Amino acid sequence: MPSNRGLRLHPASPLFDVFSSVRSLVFVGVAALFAAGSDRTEVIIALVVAGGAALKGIQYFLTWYRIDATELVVSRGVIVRNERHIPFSRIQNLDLVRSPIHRMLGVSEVRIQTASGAEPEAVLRVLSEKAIAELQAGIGRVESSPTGAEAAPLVKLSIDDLVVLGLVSNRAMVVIGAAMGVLWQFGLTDRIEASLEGFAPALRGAGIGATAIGVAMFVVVLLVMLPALSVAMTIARFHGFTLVRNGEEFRLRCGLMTEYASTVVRERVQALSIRQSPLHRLLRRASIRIETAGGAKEGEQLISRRSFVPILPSDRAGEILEEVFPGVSLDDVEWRPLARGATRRMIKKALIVWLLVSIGAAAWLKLWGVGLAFVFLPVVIWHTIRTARFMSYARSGRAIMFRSGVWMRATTITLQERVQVVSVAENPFDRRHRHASLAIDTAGAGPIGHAINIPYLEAERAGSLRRSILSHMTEELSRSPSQR
Amino acid sequence: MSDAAPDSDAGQDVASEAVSEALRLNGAPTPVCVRLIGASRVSSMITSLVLCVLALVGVILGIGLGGMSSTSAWAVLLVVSWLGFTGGMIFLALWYPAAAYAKLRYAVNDMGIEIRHGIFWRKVVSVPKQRVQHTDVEQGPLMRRFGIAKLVIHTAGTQYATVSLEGLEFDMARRIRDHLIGKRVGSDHAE
Repeated sequence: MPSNRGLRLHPASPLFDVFSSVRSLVFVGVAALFAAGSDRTEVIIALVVAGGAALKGIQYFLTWYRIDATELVVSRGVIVRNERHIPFSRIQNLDLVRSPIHRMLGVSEVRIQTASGAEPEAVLRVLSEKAIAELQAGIGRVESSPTGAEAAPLVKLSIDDLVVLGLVSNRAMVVIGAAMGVLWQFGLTDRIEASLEGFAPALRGAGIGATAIGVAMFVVVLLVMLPALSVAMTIARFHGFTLVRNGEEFRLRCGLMTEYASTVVRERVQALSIRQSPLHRLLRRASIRIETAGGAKEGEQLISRRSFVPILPSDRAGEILEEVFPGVSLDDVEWRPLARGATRRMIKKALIVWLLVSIGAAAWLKLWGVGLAFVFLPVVIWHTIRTARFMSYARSGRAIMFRSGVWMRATTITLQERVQVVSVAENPFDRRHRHASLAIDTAGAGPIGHAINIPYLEAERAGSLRRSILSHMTEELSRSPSQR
Repeated sequence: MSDAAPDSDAGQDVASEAVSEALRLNGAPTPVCVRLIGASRVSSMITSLVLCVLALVGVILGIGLGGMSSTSAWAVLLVVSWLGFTGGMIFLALWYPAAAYAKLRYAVNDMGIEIRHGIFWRKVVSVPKQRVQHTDVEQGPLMRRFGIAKLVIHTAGTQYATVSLEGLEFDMARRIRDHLIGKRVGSDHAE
């Protein structure tokens, strides 16, 4: 099947190329229209779009790819030709994105990720189902099972799960925030306020004040509209979510309108993080993120890392961990606390922050501020003590674990052989208490957002941990030569 | 402290070779070349000079804008604070490079490289040999003047994607680089 001559993309490719460039041009166009609004700008925009479309058409005929024995070769470029060789062994992820239009034409956009950089190494826009199957077979990712017939999924989310996920994640908050920003930018909030005031006299007759309307609206938005919107957005994104392990790779697919499919090679997972918000804990749920080297700073690519498992019962987290890092278990983990005196230092730090905020509050709200500050004092101390108690680390077999947080809890696990750099740091305050912090760096773009950075350790312990992790790591690496 | 770093240009090769051989075996913490102090003093002096001149312009403008109504006390205050600022900058430019040099140590062994640095915020960074993706040996015009170079180690890490070590003799930097990437090539073949 691997042929020596290059393969063309799907004939519909220029269409999608134009779509994607038009999408990025829309912003420029809208901005230009707002700025000038003359006929000439419209003509210029049309010309730019048409020119871009023509260029994409030419580009289609000059783009080809080839599946060799050990590498994928992608050649493109109108003026400057670029031939890119991607060894199969370096491919980290293969992501497919399929919007309703893609589905109508039976094609997908293919994104190939390697460990380098934030951008996908190659984007094949677009390939037919058959070409994708050939590509996957060539890369050696799919043994015999064609798409569809797979092993039993590790995680499968029902609509109920998605509703819970929508409520827990409160995805809409971000969108509403952005929308409010835009509204405010264009001065629309004033208009809304004005129209509200227009309503007011009518209602005042019924004995309802403007403030009451405001409060009522706020409550409705907060308790009804935001959650509803969150659930809708979550269902759109994660509908039909399944996570399957197929030999050495995980396959993840989801999406209502735009379908998204991703493969993550097990060996490439650098770290795994189990997260729980208070709501998660209340509902006994957790979410799992993973870190792979390179790629995925934004956009859909993030789904496979940020939402490796968007939501699952918290007692199943250990199961997923064992699937990702075989032989690593969350049971019988001996969590080691921070150094003696860590809690006292953290309280001291929290009190200094509290004092500064209190002074501000007192200056602004006078006696009320002072009162508020003292009401919050026990909360601050309680929160700090809880933080210090929960923050701990563990080593169990090849695994290094770190957990932290009071409200938002995160437990991050990596393997000794995945460690890149180990560092021990001491600041002047650390030195006074003979403390130090230990940072364990792994590869990855950081979608986990919970680095293994253990503060307030006894200095000697931090040093011996550093040496021990390094020697175990080099030992492990010399035993199995594969680098990550 | 500076016993391992020869000051004279003559015999530099022989000495650094001996040091490098010793390093490979025992991996003992070693200071870098003392000429780093001179080089960083010059570069921080240049920075301070620019800042002081900018501050002086500010002071002159401050006095000028005050115009007729400005009291002499205001002018004196500005000038005195400028003098203080300049003095502080000169002190920092002289003191900091020496203090930083005194705390900078590196150790190379079979496992990789270890760098200790920091006056107040101290840090030990360990980079295992297998994790070195590629390295650069950099030498700017000032560093060339002082006969030193900077070794930049790139890893696949996130926080520590690049780890650099300043103030090595050019030759030594190259030797360490060879040592760090030398064995890795072998392990790649084994793959």
